[in-house]
Amino acid sequence: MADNEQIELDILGQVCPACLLVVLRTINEHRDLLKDGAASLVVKTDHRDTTRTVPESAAKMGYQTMVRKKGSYYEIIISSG
Amino acid sequence: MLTATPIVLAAAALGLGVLVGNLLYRGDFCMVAMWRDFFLFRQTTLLRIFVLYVLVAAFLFNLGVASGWLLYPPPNLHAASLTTIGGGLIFGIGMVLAGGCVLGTLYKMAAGNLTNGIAFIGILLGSLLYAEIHPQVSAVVAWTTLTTQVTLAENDPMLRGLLLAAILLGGGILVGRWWQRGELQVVAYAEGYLQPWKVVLGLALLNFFYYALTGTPMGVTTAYAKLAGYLASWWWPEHVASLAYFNTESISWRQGEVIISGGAGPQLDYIAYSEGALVGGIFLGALATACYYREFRIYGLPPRRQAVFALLGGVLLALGARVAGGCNVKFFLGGLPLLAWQGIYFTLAAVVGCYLGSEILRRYIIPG
Repeated sequence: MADNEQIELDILGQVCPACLLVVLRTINEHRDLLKDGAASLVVKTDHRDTTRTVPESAAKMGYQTMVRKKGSYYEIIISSG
Repeated sequence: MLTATPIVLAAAALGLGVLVGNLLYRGDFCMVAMWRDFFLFRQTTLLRIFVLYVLVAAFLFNLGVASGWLLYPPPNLHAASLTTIGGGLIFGIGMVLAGGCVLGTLYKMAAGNLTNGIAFIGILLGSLLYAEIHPQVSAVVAWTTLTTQVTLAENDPMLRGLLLAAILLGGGILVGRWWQRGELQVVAYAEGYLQPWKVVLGLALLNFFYYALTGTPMGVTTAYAKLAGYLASWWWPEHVASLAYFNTESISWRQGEVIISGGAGPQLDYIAYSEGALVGGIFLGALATACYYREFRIYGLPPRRQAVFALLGGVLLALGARVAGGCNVKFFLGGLPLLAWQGIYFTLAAVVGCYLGSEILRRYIIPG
């Protein structure tokens, strides 16, 4: 799904648990697109614990995640796989 | 030990603080998340890891007490009163709104997070606010004392030993089961991430060394109040000097021929050399670690609603800690393993506060 739509969510500088709650809300808002594989959600975060909580919660909802470090922050890509 | 000169004491406390800052940053260990995530998401992993901390610290502290290495009860713990509960409740709400406890706020601010920086300003403001009402709160502390002893079975070593043995045995079996099922391991992708169970083992050891070095388990918020008093004395020297809180020793005990004492007043004393140095060390340790992983960066202000609640949360953290006579560092990490009444009452109240804070967060902060 290289050419699918990328929904970007920038939560840099935000604190927990707002980080996780905002990500979960965004996943739910775009549920149809994400489930169809028409889009993936790209989360930008500098909050280290989010690299634990978001993949864990997304997996419970049936999504796949990929985390990579981009300079001083992390990018979490959430998709249907 | 306490025979050390102030400068050696401060250097050692600073060194321990640097190690604490490194551990906390790498594991992003959050004592708010362990309760809050249970209420919000029914996640219990961090709570299990906290149980591991309490067991290891209880073993180390009580071994130290039995061997005569550690003062018992430590001079920074006292009998519990209704203010322990009231303060714990306020503190619990504050730590959810602030997005971190007094430690989380410090090490995340050190890594450049402005939301935590705003919460830290709230802590300083809350400390100054408390100084205005200190005489009234002190009177309530005296009227509403709940216990005659500082710790459970304080004067009955046999009963205390039995209680501890039961807790360590029961808790040990529980932790052993969690370990076998892999429930103490988490998966995280941050660079240099340290498993939380390793963080708490390190914290228990460092708190033990700090206790042996300074005579008390770790505390941090009196040092924050001291900083607030020091900064305020630049602008309002006469007013700060006139406040009873900044003229009162919060800790004082006799060690042989020497009286060791200190308080929130803006001068160099035992609190500055122990807690102050520890706080400085945690800040530097977290900052150095963030720089090492090239993660130090200031990203700008959070959404306005988060900023307002972080400031309010910081004020509540300071007010709660001052009313209760300590914060979660002193009571969760030091009081509970020593079976101190203040630790038990404060923890119960802070958990209720956390629940209330989580509800406020869910309803009012996240929607915006």
